[in-house]
Amino acid sequence: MRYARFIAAISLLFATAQAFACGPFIYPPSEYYMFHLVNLPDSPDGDFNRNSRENCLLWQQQTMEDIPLDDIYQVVYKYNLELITTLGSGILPMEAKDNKMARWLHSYHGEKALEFLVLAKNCEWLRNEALSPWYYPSKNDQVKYTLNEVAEMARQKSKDYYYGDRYALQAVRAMTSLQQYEEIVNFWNEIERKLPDGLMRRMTISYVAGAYIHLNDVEQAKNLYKLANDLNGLLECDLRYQPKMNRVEKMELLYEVYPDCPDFRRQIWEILGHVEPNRDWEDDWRWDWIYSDERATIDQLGKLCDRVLNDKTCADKALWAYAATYIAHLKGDDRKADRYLKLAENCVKDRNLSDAIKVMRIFIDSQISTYDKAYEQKLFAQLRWLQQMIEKNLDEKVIQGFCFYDLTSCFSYYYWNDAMRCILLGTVCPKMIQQGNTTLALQLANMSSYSLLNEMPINLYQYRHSRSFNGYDYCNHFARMADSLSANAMMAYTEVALRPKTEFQRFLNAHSYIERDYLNEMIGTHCLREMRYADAEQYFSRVSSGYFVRTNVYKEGYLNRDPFSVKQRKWNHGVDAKLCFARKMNQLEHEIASATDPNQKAMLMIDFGIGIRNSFDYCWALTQYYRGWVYGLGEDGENVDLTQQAEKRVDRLFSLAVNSFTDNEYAAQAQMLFGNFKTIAERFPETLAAVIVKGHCDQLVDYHAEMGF
Amino acid sequence: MVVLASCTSKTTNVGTTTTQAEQHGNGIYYWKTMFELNDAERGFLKEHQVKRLYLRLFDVVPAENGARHEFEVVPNATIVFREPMPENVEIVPVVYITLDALRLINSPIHNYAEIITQRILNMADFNELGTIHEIQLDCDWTQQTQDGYFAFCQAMKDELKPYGIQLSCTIRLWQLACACPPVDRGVLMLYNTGTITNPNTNNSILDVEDVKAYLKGEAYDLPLGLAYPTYSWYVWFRNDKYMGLFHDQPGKKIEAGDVVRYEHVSFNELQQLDSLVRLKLPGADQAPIILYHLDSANLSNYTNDEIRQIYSRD
Repeated sequence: MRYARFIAAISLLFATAQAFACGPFIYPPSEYYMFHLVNLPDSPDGDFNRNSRENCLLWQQQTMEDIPLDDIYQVVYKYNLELITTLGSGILPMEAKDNKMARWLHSYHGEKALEFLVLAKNCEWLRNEALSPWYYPSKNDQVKYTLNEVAEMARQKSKDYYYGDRYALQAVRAMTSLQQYEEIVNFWNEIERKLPDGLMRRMTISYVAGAYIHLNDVEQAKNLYKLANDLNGLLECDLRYQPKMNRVEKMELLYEVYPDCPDFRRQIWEILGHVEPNRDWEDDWRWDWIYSDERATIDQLGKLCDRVLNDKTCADKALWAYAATYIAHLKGDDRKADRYLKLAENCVKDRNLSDAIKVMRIFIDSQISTYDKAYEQKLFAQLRWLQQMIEKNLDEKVIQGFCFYDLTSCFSYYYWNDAMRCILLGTVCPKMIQQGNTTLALQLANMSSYSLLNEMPINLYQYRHSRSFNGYDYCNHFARMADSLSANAMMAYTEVALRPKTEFQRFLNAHSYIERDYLNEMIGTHCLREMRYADAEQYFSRVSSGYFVRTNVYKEGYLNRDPFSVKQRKWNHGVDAKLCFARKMNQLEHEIASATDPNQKAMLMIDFGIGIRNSFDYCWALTQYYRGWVYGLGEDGENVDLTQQAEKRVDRLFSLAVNSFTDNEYAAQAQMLFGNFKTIAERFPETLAAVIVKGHCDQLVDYHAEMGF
Repeated sequence: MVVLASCTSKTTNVGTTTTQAEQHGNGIYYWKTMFELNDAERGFLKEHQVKRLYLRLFDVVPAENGARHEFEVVPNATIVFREPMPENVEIVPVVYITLDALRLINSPIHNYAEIITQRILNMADFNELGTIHEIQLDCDWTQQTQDGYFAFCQAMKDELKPYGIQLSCTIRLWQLACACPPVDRGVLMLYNTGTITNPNTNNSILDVEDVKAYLKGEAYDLPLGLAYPTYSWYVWFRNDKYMGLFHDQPGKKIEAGDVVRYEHVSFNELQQLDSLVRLKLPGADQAPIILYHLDSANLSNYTNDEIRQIYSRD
């Protein structure tokens, strides 16, 4: 029975060691949105959320600044006629006691506001309820006024200092319900000059436009709808309008009636702003990966762009050309995209759009350029500008967002930074790697990962030296890319990072993270992975001893595992576990080479093999920075090719060692290590190991155990 | 009478109790869009002790919803009240549902049974129509729309139940051969028996011979009231083509060669009708009589005594 436990302990050496070392949080370039329009106009009037918020803010200005917007919203939009009427009668209802707006209205300050709200709620009730074709008054109705009375009172009150514009809106609402269209126009003519700009004026204008439609003056109605930014109203005046039109069909009609509509910018962004090809470097992007509905919409928008760009009267060609550029790119035609982009560059007037077009230029160039020295120089200039934009547009919101997302999960949600990552990580780096220019690829990846971090007003020294998990340095795109490349690639990169020769290299370094220890430790780890133990020892020796404790694998305790034991046991090596391991492996390699006694040499080979095997398995933290399954990616941080090479080497070593023994006691000891008890019993029955096997196997099955090594 | 009553033993639901006629008393429809009685009409109600006024409140018709460009049903031609209800007359609100509206009325979106009920009750409350015991639906449902109509009747009945209000509906002659709608009682409409647009029709309001085809001596499984026509009109044709209807004397539109057919039902014909119905519709002799409709000009075609005889069925 005791032997059964021994067998189990040995077999664990070769079991898969699962560990979850909080591996990289991958935010692939496919989630960095390239198409971007800034300073989008507010959604048009008629958007309840927008109007209600603006209205509540206005109420806040007109009442007390410390009344919460939600309290205002409740009173203005949620209180029914009965509740407002109760308030108006001087009673503070129970359900209103905790509402600051209701309390303010109840105080003597709120008299005029309350008077207005009673009228407005009456008007609303009458319009909503009474105008339903099914309405018939009942004796229980709470209405205080008829619509005629509301209209008349509101017209009178529209001249008042307090809430005059609000009364004007109620007047036109009531008159609309009463179908008094001529009166509405007359009223508008009276108040037009006096009515202040703002939400109430815009909403009033929409009703006046509606009245003009009933008076068959559609052109005047259209002009007013434009003034009110009421695009639905504007579209509905057109006979071609169909409610079931899709969004692009509505845009087409809108273009015909209002070609310079500022809202096109928002509408185009809503279609293209979140369509991003998957630019992860393992996959090629394909147009048909977009859902068919979305594809149809984009296709239709592309046709509208072409139509608009052929229209000489179009005033905002740059916008449409910018959209057409991106659509052409999505459809895989970057040459066509380039032509559209040139058009956009030639006619852009707006500064914000101009910046977005410049970003798109960097992107399209990265798609169509030949990656040569000339392109590198162009890229240098482009990145210099993009870096300026990253720094220039930094504000508190970006900083807060960064600290919340990027520092913990490598998300940035900051356009300029996202654009850089999208272009470099999604297109330039993969192409550079394909061409064998891994050094520049790593430099660009490093900059794209660190340029924003370096601008942050945070104490990075403290962050990196704390005992907490470092969610950035080993989880970002640079780390991920470095992890996928060879030790030689890292060595070459580090050489340039530490000793730059060109202006471009210095620029990239200035916005990267190139701490010597960080890079040398990474090279050392790569060398362990490639079983280059002498090189590993050399690079780990360059790492200051204090650095090792800053790595996540150390902090998480994954380096406390003995790589030279067949049993899983603790290893008290101090902080520089990787260096110790590299040194011992290097030493074993030399001893194997110099050993003359075949039995001793074979035992050294077995020790060496165990070290290799453990460093890819139970002691994976020696060769990897993370291991575990990442949700959505299924990665485990393991370089499968290198692991397989290591396994083959271990097999060869063990096989060679077993065949090299000339002393049966050594040979039996080695078989004991591997758990090959049957072999010991059959081939080396006279040895001490065989005596132990026979004496400890309680059951036949144990006696016949054979691990196969 | 006794013989007839004994013969109608199977007509358990048709005029089952002799009290139904007594209970309901004399009835008459009011089918105008404005409730305003003249002296003659007020006098008629009083003279003939009319107990029940079947008052059309509104029609239900389809309409296009402007905002959504979808069809929905809406009330139309809602009656306007110019004067209070006469005393001692029970009001039975009637709602006329067009066939097109019927096709939309069982909407999954709107509970029209509830909406219509609420509107009727609001109208009754607001215009002080008195306590409502019964509401009547009038609809020319067909075999194709029967299921929808019956479903709607059931929904209305369910709506009215909490108020203790019963539901009745009008029954066309041809509908006697169909299943009964799920209502509490019906009113058999014994008029509009002919095709008004046919120039060869003698009298589209009533041809007793036409009625015979529908009455086969079989019972109807609902308590029925009987609606008799006391109206008249002028039907206008040109080249055998139906041109329109006049309630008064034809106007200036009439040209030489046009044919105007005056249609009315004489007292004699009403008596023949009553005899036929009593003979061929089991239990009909105990059914309440409702005249269509309260209009002094039309009713002036009959003497008070004739009206009395129609109601009392002497």
